Amino acid sequence: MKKLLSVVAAATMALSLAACGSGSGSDGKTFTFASELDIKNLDSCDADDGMSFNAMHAVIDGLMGLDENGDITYALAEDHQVSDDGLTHTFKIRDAKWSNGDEVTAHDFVYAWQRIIKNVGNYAYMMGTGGASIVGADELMAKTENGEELTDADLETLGAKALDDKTLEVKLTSPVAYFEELMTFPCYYPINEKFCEEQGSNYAKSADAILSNGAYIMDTWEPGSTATFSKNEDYWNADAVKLDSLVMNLVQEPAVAAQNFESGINDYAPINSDLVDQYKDDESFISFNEGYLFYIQVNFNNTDLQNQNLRKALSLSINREDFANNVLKDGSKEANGFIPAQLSIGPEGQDFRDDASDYTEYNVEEAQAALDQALSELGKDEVTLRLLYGTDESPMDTMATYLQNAFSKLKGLNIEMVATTKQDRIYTKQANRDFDLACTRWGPDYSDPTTYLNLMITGNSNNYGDWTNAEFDSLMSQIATEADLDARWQMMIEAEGIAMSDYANIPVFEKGTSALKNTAVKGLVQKPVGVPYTFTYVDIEG
Amino acid sequence: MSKSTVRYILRRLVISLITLFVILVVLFCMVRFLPGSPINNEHLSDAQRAAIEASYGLNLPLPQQFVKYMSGMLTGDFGVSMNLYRDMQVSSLVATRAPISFFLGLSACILGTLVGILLGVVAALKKNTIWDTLATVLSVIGVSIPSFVFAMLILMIFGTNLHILPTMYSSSQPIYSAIMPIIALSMSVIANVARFTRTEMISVLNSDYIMLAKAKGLSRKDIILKHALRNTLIPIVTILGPILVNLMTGTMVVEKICSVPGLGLLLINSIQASDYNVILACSFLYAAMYIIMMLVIDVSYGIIDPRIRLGKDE
Repeated sequence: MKKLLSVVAAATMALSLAACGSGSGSDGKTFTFASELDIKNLDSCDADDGMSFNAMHAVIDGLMGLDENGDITYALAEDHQVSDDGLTHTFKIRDAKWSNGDEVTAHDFVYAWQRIIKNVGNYAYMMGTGGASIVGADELMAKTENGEELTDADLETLGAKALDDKTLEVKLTSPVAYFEELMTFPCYYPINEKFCEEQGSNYAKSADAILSNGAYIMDTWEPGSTATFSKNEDYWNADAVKLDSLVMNLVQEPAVAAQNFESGINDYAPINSDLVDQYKDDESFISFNEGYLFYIQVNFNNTDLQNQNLRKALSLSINREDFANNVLKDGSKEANGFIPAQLSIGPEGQDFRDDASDYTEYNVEEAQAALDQALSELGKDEVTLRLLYGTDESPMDTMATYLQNAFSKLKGLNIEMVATTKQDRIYTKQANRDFDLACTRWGPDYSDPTTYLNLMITGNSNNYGDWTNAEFDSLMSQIATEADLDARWQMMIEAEGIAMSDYANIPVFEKGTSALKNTAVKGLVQKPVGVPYTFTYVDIEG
Repeated sequence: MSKSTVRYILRRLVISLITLFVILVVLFCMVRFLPGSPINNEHLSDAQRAAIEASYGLNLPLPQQFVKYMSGMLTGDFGVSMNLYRDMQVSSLVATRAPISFFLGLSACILGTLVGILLGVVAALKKNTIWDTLATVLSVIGVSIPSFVFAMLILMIFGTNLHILPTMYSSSQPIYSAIMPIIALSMSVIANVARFTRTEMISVLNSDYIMLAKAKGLSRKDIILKHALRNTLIPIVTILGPILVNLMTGTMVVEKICSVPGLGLLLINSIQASDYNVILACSFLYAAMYIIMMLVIDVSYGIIDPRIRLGKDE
């Protein structure tokens, strides 16, 4: 027995020593970021998720970027000129190098943008009228959608040209008020053609198959586990980079991420609503807007739902504040309109939500009165509606259960829950208009209100409810071409008013995220649009 | 190895290959009948989504897709990931993860079996003593509490509080960082094997040939090691196969808690993302593993107990 005890004691000591060794080793400042989502792809042609954007932005800069305060600033561009008609943008590219020593040139942008269209990338549509409105992009995409291979001559028709090594000219089909902000989005990042062609199909599939022109160089990347980065000494803005290394760990279990945070393994850990009560008073606790709007899409093909009072009753019966603060508890906020707060800043620097009206309210008595009025107008004693939701898209299931409870309090309204997968919800049921009410969500492509307002235009591919309003459509057409930013801003406020007053969709909540952040960590820039986290300015004090 | 045994193994191999083909066909169809598609970015228009699907050949008729997949598979090309790790080779994704899951499963099985046998033997030899009660209590705890709860407990105690074990798997320390998940996974094995061993051992110890051995004056050590333990082990082998397969296929929750980039987690994530090729490759690998494992177990019966004959003698 004594022997056994001594063996166990020796093993424990050995392990403890090994553990001590594993935690140290690198000199300098290291920021360790835990995420419950994995880095999926580092190719700006394909990547479409936040964590991939985080990793990609750690190594690659675009024309524009963010400063320490999260405001848009020059990155690889050192100057930007716009023609009077707003249709021609000319960027001067600064002296910057790829990590293979090549100069970053205007050709790198042209190549990357042509490539995303040619390869039918996830964000190819951002080149056309869905985003930057670059001349020729829609026509080229139409060809790829018809299964045609694009030739070099075809690609030359794209309105992005390298006038010389350091001058990029971009011609648009219509003015885009938020063009500079778009240029911070990863799909507009440059790619070094020579390196990309050498790598072929392996490009950006591993740490040594991607070049850096950004703050960090990717040293290792193990999908499903971890990625490590070190400071890029040749970065054009190297003085701003305070870290020596950056680590991104995949920790899919928030409770484990929180434990790791407590034991000092991670400097940043996302947590879920189950853990919020435990940490909400901790000084390391933070919460912020994720940018996603969760809302109910109303199917206007349902004759009952064409009744405005019925839609009004539904909206009035939801206690959004209670749901966000007492059920979700993850930093989510009640939605007061279709454009989330902290998303769009107007010409005078004001938030869209501050300028626009509030369109949501909780009042059960008024909801019942509206429902009674609706039933009287419909000539019915009761109405039954199907509530569609995906069980695999948390917290959509929680939202659906809460809504069912809220709607069921109204006499004369029956709710049938239709649970399915996200895929089936969108591409089978909603696409075939086989729903009455659908719990759905939208994340912004850019911070202009049109990223949300466009969803309600007649014929928009995401307008599964088929809400249509001529006045709204006309206003949206004007917004698309209006060059006067103040007038455009007012039009967007008016457009939201038209849609929300008619209960085109019923907004429920704006998704928030809660996390634990080491209090010594400063300079982590978080944005609800585009790249979620910018690590360039992160510093660890003390 | 007798001719009949070789014939038996060959016959089983042929049947296994046919079974695997049938499984592949069924899996291929089932995966394609899942609602939705791997191209599920809701920001894409129908035409854009269709264009991306066409680039992966998803617009082809199902039989044509199957033939294309099979011909690729025979040359070791399992296609590319369509969603989870878009355009990455599935073979490389699986190749980096499968060894980790196999290592964890196998290690947990070996550790669990050794400790389980030890506990079971002690409990049987010290029947109705405090040691027996202790071993039984441990077995009940091991069976009742899921492995992920053990993982969380071990992680909290040895990782977060004592800093003895790392809380995350690391490929730079593949053995050291695997200790925690292996212990967590082995708990149910320990419990199952210990219970089984105790029952079998007690039964064997009460049998006539053990009485005869005692009467012949053999030492207690010889009786236990040479006679009792060997006969106790035969039935244990029968439960090891399913235990091992369960361990390898059931590691995903522990993988998630201990941040292990294993095959189980890849399969779950690929199902959630409807990533056809990844689902197919992972499921196929599990099916192949199961079939091979059952074959190995069957063959090992004959080695452990020569009285068991595989195949018909001529």
